[in-house]
Amino acid sequence: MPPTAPIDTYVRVETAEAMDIFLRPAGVFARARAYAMDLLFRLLWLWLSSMLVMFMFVGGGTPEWMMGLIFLNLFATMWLYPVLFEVFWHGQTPGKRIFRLQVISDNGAQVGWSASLLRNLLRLADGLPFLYALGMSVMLLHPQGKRIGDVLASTLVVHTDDARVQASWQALQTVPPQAPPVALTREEQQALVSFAERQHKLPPARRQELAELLVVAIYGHLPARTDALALALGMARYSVGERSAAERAP
Amino acid sequence: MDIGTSRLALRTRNAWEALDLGVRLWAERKGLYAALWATYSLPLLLLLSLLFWRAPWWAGVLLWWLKPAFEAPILKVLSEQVFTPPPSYRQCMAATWRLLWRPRLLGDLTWRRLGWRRSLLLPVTVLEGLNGRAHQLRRDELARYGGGAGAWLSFFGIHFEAILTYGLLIVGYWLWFGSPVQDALVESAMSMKQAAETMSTLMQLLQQDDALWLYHVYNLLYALVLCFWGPIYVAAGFGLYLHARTLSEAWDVRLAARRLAARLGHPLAALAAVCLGFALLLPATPVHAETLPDVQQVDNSREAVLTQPPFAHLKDKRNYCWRSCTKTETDKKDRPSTQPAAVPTAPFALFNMVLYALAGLVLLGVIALLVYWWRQSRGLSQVQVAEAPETLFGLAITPQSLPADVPTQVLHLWQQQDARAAMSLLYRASLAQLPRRYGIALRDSNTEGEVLQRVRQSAAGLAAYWQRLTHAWLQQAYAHRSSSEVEVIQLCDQYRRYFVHNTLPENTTATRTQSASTREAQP
Repeated sequence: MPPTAPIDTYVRVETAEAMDIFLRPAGVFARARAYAMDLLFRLLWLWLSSMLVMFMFVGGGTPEWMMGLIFLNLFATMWLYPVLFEVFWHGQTPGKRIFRLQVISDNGAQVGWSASLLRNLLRLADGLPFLYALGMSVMLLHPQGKRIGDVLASTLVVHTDDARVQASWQALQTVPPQAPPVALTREEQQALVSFAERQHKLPPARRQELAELLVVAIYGHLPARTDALALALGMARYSVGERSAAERAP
Repeated sequence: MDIGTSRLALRTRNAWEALDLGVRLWAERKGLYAALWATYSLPLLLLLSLLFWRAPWWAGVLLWWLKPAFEAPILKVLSEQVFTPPPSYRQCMAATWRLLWRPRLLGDLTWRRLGWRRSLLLPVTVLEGLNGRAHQLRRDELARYGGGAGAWLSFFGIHFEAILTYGLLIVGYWLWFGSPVQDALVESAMSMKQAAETMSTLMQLLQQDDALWLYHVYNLLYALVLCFWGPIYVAAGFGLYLHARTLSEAWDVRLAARRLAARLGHPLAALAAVCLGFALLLPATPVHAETLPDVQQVDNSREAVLTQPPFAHLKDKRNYCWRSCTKTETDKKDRPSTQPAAVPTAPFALFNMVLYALAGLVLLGVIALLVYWWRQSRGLSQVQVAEAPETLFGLAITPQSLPADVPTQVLHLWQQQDARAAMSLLYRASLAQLPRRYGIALRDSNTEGEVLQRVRQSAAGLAAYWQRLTHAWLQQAYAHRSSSEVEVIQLCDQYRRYFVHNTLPENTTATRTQSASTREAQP
């Protein structure tokens, strides 16, 4: 048994309702990718909008207020883009949304104006001395992958749930749910569910072997005349709260 | 060594979190790793700098090129850190210096040096000790689980090394000459002139032969950055490797099964044999893995198919010419230009403006359309309005298409041995009630499962009935298994109670246990 707490990337947070939730902080690699995407979007937008403004008034010289317009646009795109998206779009800029990241407060709540403004203004510090060198180093060193702005604003960038898991459950509709013979703890139920979600990606032999392993661990033996795979998947369905037709019948 | 005693929390992560797990492993003993890397690489830099004293850029390139040599010792210590906290610097050095020369190093330093997935594959070489064909098979299998993120890691690494090295150079410049930005802010009038002067002095500095010292400084800074980044690169790749094996061998499920058996006191005889087989540092026996089809065979059969009639034959036709081609070209050149000398701009200004505005609008429209499609296809739309589509899974569900007394009609059809029509009528009649009575928005792309999910979320009181109904309908529609008559009669009774007599309160947010008690109350 490990003597100390295991090395993990997850963060356990206790909410005000005394419930434990797990947050999955995103490290520097995932965040750099999302940032690059956002940067691309912003540059595209700047190029496009500046072109439009320029061509609208071609031939008439360049009035000063036009330059003002362009600079205002530049300011808004560079500084307000992340803030507005984070506040109004569930903590996600377009780049973060594409790669399924989200900015939240480090107690699990949504970010508000002050936190978002603070963490984005501090990009000035994180960006030093050259292209986020400081920010990236801090992200690598911080246990939850925060940069300076995140530390001071008490925010966290997390991975959001993967929606594709839903599809693998649809495929299990034909397996009848099966109550396990003993009460299982939450971790054990999670293992069953995790097996059911991944089973279609495993080779058939390994899938069968794992199912037998789980069934033997729960039952103590392999029940005769039963398919271990169907039994394990059935218990997984039971664990996510689906009950069999026989149990539901009045 | 047994993965059961691992200090890592093994669970299914996505590949990017796996990279972070490797970084966590590194962060536990960052000083140790930096020291190990520095001990191996800085003497080499010294040697290279002396050898290439007049051409320091070669020293930098060679230092970069020889990086894989220092990675194996770091990986060795990392892999032990998975089980026990690593010992002191001295012990680590004693244990790992032999790894500077390892099998396959020559290949890794030459034709495999530019591979993108180097970090993921290093453990296969160093820890599993695989070689040749076995290495190739193993590499392909693991790359299925983490190859993409491995390539991204290398891509990130290239940029990170450059950014940090230039960052250090810039800091050095600031400390020496002062920040040009700061100067510009203080004397804004001078800023442009000053910037130009700074640039020209820098350029002069670089062009002089005396500027060799700058390259040496750059090399030193780069070597220092590598002491920080090199171990992280190895550790992140190792995290990815652990992730790939966790997924391909389902380590976490096995561990959970073993803990479960231990808790319940079941004999482990059957389990022990299985669990011993996945020690971390042994090559995983690929007995359970499906063998991939032979690449050559696949290629052959593909070629065979592509050469057959339905596929078009593409022929590459080239004419090699020497005299005639140049002749036509010179002919063209001699012809006088038909272009007007200058294009008058003024009349085109308005035209340009309109054209570009139109192009911009079209582009915006396309983007809006793409966003709309994306939201549609991903089901991420937040629409909460209870819209009622007219058909779902090909069934008409408008009120006009339903008979007045649905349950009677259903039972009538049932008795006429038309079970399919009966279940279909009952299911679509119930569906028709959802948007109108419970405000549940449905779209005609919804599946039965999604509808069930919506009912559970928005009308929990109805969930038990809906689950039962969906099951009966799916059995009938896709498996061609009819429900029992009792079941159908009960379903009709419930339909009558919920939708005709309205006994269920609308939008109940009852929990699962409450709805269970209502189920038990039914006769």
